[in-house]
Amino acid sequence: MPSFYCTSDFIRQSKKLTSDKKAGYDTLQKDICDVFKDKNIDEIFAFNDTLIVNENHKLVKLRVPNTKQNLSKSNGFRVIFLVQPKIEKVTFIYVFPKRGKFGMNSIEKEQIKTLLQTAVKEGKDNSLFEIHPHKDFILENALNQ
Amino acid sequence: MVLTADIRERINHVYQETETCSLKSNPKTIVIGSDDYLDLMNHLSKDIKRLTTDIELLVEELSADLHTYPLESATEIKYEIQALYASCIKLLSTVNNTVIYVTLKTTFQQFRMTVNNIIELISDIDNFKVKNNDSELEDLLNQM
Repeated sequence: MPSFYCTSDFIRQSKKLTSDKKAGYDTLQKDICDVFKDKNIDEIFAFNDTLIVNENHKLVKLRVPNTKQNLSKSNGFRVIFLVQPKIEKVTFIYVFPKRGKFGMNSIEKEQIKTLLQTAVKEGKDNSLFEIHPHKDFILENALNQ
Repeated sequence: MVLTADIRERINHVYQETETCSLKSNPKTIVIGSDDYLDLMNHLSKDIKRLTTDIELLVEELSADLHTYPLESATEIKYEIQALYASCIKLLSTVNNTVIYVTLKTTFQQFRMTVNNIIELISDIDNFKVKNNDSELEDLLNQM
């Protein structure tokens, strides 16, 4: 079973999206859980929507449906995460919706670099937050921080 | 390796569909409420919905497989997709502020949302395929 972690940027953004009840992102946690729960590291490494890949890691921008707004994968959320198959580790870097109040069209490479810098720093500091997508409401504790 | 004939054909097919919709959306004369008008709205509604689905599937497939394409093919896809995007914008400009847009507002709003996903694909091809020689990004990933 892989270990799942997320950065403070991921937590902050998830909090922003889910705290506005009228924005239509309430199902974010469950929608992400539905994709990752019961998946082993090989299955996660085999996900499409890859941005960068080599033998040690794969940076993915995954398309996830927004069930709250009944939006398809194309128009739902984008979840950016890093998979490291050798150490069976998945790190969630960022999430953004394609539609609605906080909708973004895409994310620039420079933004991804900044997000990765946070991930590297928090990895070194041991301050990445461990989460459990095989249980629902993975971010419950993180969001309450 | 260059772009496979199948992908080029599919992009070209969607491009032609878009051009046809642009022509249909710009009738020389039409009497609002006439049979011709109602027929046009019916046909256009079906055409734009089909076009929206075709673009969505195309973008989804190209995005999913992007990392498997060699640089030359990715560059070619980018140019083909940019032409498709320009054609979609031309269609939206043609109907903007017309009775056709007002009548088929929801259909065109869905179409516009899907067209926006083309921008994301072009940006990803640019950032992670065409300009993929980024040691700073690789260094960061290796530090994880």
